[in-house]
Amino acid sequence: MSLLVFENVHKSYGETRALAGVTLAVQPGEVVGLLGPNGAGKSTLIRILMDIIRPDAGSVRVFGEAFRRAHLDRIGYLPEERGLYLKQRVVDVMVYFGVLKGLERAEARRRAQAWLARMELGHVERWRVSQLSKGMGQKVQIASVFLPDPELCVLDEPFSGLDPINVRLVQDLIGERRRAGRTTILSTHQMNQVERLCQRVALIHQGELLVEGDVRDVRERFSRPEVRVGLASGPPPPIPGVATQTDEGDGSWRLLLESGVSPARVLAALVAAGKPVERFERVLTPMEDIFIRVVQRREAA
Amino acid sequence: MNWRKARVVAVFELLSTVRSKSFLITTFGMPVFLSLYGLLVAIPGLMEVQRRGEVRVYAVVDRAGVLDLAGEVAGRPEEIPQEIRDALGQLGQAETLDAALAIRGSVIFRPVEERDEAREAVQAKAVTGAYILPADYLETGRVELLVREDAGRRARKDRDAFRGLVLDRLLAGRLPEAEAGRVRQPVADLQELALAADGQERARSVWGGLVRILLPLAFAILLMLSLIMTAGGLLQATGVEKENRVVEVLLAAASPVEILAGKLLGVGATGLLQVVVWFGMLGVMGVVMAGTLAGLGVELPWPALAIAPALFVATYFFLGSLILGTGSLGTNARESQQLGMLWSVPLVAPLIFFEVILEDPGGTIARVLSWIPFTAPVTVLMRLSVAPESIAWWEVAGILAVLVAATWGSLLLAARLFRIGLMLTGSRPKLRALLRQARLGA
Repeated sequence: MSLLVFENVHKSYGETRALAGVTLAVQPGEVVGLLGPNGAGKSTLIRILMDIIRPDAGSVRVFGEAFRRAHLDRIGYLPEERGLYLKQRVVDVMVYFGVLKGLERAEARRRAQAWLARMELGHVERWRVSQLSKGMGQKVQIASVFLPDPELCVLDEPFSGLDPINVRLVQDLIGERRRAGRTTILSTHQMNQVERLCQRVALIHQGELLVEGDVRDVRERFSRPEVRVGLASGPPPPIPGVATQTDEGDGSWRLLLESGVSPARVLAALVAAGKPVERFERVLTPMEDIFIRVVQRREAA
Repeated sequence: MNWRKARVVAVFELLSTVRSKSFLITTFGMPVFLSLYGLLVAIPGLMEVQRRGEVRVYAVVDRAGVLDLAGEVAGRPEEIPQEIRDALGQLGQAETLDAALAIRGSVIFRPVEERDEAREAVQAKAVTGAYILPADYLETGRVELLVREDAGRRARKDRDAFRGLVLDRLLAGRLPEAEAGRVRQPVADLQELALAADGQERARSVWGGLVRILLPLAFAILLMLSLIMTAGGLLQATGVEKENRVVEVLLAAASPVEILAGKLLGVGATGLLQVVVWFGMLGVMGVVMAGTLAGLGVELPWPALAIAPALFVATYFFLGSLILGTGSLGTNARESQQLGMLWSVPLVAPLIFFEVILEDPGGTIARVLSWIPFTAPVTVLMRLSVAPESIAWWEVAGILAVLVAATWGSLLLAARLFRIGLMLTGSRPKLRALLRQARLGA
């Protein structure tokens, strides 16, 4: 059973169409990448899930039921445009958000302290929010989202403003949640993060869902039949089924396969030819290229 | 609606405001400011006290021969109505009145034969001024008052003293003393009686009547004051969230109605706390004076006082939610304030009809205004205060029910406006788009 289902969701702002019949299902324990150019309708879809705005048509089902506001206590949300109460103490803000999500005050305080320690921010507990650096504030907000341990989390650009060390920290947290069976929707423009973290991807453009599926499947679908081969010496020998071979200059070669030829057959041919193979991999189109290709194709159409 | 969430928002708002320096400064600084203002206002009075016992002499040239002044004559003390004297006497302030009259100084009239002599005395500053009664005074009533060019305008009391002198002299020997007294003061002691439904007559004190009129006025002012104070806080609270973009996180955790109700309760409680602190000081004075008030025969309008808190709270929520809802449509703090405060204008509308309602508390205007949520609180208070019998209890209950229903309606409407308004960051939406969004629930 799907954890979350958007069913034919429509939304317009006056003459502007934000969503045009989006249908999307998210399974429990998945990390789903929500992609799309600016103004594609991602934020509208997220805001509809969070009941910040209402759809013109369509429905949302979550946790196996038609959406109710009470479900929001089980959903965490990190909006793209972030903010905290600048004059408040860090721990007080975290406790406030935790209590609003249904935690008891004492429990919320205990968890806030634990999360601050986890984020290496234990020393800022009593600081005013205005005293935090941008990165610190970002981490406090992420911690606030994870604090109630929501079953479903929606993170809109969670890595923006973070240094590589903290990016890794947040990646680890998302990974931990996945291993714990928690579901995450990740809205981002950082395609490498999608490839690294997400099992599934949904690409929205002009309010329509253009691409959806398993990340590897999608990349396969948009890739040519190519393999990259690293050889200890010399170029690869002529192999039946290989249309072209290109020297990539670092001891590796890119081989374009003819239709119906499997990579395994090429590898077997290389080994049979006595060539010491140091590296062999399927060349998949990066998500970034797929994104650009899909968007441009759509706009051209 | 989840009241737990509304309570969480309310506590957060309450503590945020109460802990702020500006709240402490306003709460405890305002009485200090008012005291200083009071001192400033009292300065002219203090200067008057310093002139205590000052004697002003006026020359009098009586060509008409009606005053018959043999020598200097003191002006008659000011006439104070007996009911005021009695009331002050009951307060134990009779001596204060005499002292106050003494502070106002005394006037001496000095007879002078010729106009020129009077002119010289005025010029030489030997006298404050000179009254000249021409020979045809009795026919024309014309009197000249001659003062120096650089002299300020004389106080009304000096002119009254001269009028009193002329009146006394005109009446002297022509009427018996008792009748002369009535000519001077036709109604020296007005005894006002109230005829009850059971036919009994009871004295109505000046203070009692005053309290009955002042109570609804004080209520309206108190309501306006607390609304103005708390509306600022309410609009600022939402403005900050809009500015900081915390609002999306907040809306993802609590519904607009819960946030709105929480803010109204929390920020409203701080506003009321201020009002309680300030009016508590007056309350202490009231308790101290309770015995005296009872002695004055002041009958407090208990029905009005009993219903006032319910009206206050209902009206606060009714208007507060509208102020917050419309205020959230503003694109900046000033615009929010302007939009929000529009709602407080109808509140004081009954004061425009003050006289009409006082004269006919059971009339059509009073009845109609009682059923309109905006004007109900002040009108009902006025009617209950001035003439409790003009409004039936079922009517009061019905009006309260309408007010509660209107409050709930305004809360829901405000929640929709709030939801739309908080998502706005640029320009204010057009009315048509606003209505459409409100209908769809944004």
